[in-house]
Amino acid sequence: MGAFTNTAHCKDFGVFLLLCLVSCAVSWAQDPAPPSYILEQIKAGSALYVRSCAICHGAQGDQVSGVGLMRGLYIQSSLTEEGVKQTIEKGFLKMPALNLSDAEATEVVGYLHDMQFKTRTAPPPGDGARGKVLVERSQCLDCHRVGKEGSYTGPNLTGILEHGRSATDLRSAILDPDSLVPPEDRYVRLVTADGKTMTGRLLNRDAFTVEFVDTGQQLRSVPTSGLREYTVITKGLMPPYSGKLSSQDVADIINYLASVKGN
Amino acid sequence: MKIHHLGFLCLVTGSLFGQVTYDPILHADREPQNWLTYSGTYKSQRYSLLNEITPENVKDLQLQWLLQTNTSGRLEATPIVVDGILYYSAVQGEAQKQHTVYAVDALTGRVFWTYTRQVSPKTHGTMVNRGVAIAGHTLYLATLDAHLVALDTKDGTVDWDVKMADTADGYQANEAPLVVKDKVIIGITTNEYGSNCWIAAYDVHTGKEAWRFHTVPGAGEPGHDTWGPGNAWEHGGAPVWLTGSYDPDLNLVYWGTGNPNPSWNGDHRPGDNLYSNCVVALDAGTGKLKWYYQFTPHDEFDWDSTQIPVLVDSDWQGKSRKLMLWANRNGMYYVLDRETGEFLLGKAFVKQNWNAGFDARGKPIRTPNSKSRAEGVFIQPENQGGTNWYSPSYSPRTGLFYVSAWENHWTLFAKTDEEYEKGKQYTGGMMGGPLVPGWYDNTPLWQGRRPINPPYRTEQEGYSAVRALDAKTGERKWEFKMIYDTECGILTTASDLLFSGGMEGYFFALDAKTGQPLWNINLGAAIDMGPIAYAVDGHEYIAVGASSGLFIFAVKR
Repeated sequence: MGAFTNTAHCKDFGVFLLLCLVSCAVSWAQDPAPPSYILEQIKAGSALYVRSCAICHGAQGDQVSGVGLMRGLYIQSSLTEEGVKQTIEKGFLKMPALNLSDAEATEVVGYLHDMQFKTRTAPPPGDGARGKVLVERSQCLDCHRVGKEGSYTGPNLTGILEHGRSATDLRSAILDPDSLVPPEDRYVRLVTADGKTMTGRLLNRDAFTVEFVDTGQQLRSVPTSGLREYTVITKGLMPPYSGKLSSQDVADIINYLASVKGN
Repeated sequence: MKIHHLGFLCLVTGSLFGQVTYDPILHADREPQNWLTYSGTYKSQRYSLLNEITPENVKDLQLQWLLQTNTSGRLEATPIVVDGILYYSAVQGEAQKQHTVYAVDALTGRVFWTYTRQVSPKTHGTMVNRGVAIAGHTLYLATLDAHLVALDTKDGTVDWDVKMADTADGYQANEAPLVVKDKVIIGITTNEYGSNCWIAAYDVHTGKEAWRFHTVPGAGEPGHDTWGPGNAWEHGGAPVWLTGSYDPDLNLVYWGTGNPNPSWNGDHRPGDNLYSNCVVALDAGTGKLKWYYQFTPHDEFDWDSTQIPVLVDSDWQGKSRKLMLWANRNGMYYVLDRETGEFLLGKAFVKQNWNAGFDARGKPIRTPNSKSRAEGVFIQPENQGGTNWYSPSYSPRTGLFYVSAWENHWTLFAKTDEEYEKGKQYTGGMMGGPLVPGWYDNTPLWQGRRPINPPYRTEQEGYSAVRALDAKTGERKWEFKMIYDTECGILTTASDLLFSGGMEGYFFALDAKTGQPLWNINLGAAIDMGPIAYAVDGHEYIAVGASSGLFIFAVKR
């Protein structure tokens, strides 16, 4: 990633310095210092993105299943920015290898980096230590897992802010959970051929089976043939905490969750 | 090229290197043990006369052997099988970009020889190959860097190697060629680079080009005026990337062509943009155009018409006719008269909102809002289409046409202003919306319309299916649903079995008459190629690829 500051483009040092300062000011996520791209690279990368990438990935970078280019989500989960350049050059699965020079691929990566940086929203000021206590006292761990604590029945909150959710998303999810149930957090209710009802968080569904983690935290795989009922549940999965937690409480919880890395 | 224990395996299996001339391909139905072209025969029905594997014993299918190709995770090639030898083609793109062709014992999977051909690391395009063709003692391979290579079937050595096009212009070749008489026929493609493409024939013995049909007509040629008065025709694209079919009685080859460029913006190319999104009927000896039919005139939705032309001789409304069946990426199922090109039927096989019917000559009538706009327009089927390059099948026993279909999908097509630039993609559009973070959340148009990973999908949010259509009416007879999408082709057999799969990683057998599932196995990765059937020593085998492995199944004996 050392090639990202091309000295030939550094004549506008003022812009470069401003970008560095902005980067420092918003760098709340305890990540290593991000590589820097100059404005010309980002603008050129934006144009190249529209020409060569957006027809499949979309303006918002999320039109390919499992990929969120503006959020740093890739099928290859640990893909570095150098890895993204390699993917542009070599192709990957259905993605063709693109006819871009190394400098152009760097510009595209610079644009994505810039978008990913802008997409992140800093959590409101809060007391993470107090947030940890609130999580433990508010029955969050009855369903959710944070680090090595809690239940497997609900979505795992470990590193949740690193995986495409913003602080704003989390605030909505806590106060009014029915307003934001991403597809990967859906539940299903099954009634088997012999009348047995099972409920759990959906992990996979295909032509022949459904996989889920049930309310007893057991991993289940059930054949779909003979099912009497298969219902996707997206409402009423979590009680709303609006009126039960103050804005400061929510800010403290989000600050705590932002500090729990991994997953 | 490597020789692996050749003498030993010949002794063990008793296999001989078969020789295929034009005549065996012409009469492929006399050799159901062999799979001689990409789609099996010149009619491209992907239908096998083999019937040892039946609806009764298919539950006893067992893995016989597995060829690991070390690709980067995607096999799209159909094998060729001749007298106990299976020829296969794969592309490795991770460490270095190269082609590999394998000649293996179809009974055991042991490798006789491999041929590898490295291409430049800068070679771009889709890193796949869809298979080889065979004639005599020669295999024909089209390469990512747009060469056509002839290989000796006995040892994989190169007989000749001709450059068909320049990769600097965005060209590549990835389809399986088709041998007709003394010619190897193949089309050239780009990945939306705006370079005009063609179909060409090469001498089987020398590689010398015999004829070329330009899919975008030049100045003074018929159809040239369908690109408007400017120079849009110079960068019209119309790529060719799947194998065509052949009618020996008419001596016509039939080939599908791809979308015009810029793909999502037709403002600068007013007119129908011939011969993009067409099937063209060409004289096999000269390449002269006999007739064409354009499925999607003035396309702005990237709906390549490169699907496989399926040829059927059948009664049509009381008269025996030579028909062509075609399920198109634009979501419509067509029946054409392949002697004249006459439009006989057009009927949607998935949800669609662009077609309001056909005029008397079969030209589609567009719905009022099916026009790409800067702010985006919702169109069904989606950009990937109601179907795409995945091989369909036709069973003369059931009279059904089988297609891998995508249902309930949509795309927000949004055009952008884009100038042509040599060596750069010429797309003219994207999935919509300004390049502003968080735009979705504040735009009602998009709410609830983000793509959803298949494991969590509901049926309303999109699914795929094997659909069986009455070949003469397009009426759906049954469907087998999958939650994930499918890019798997379909094989039917004379015992009324249907084999297919999908991105879920299952390879399965259905009753071709009813769609009832009879057997499945989880191969653990997406299946992106068309299965085939072949026989060795009188016993039937089914071949299918998943990820980087080619799996061979047979009934336990």
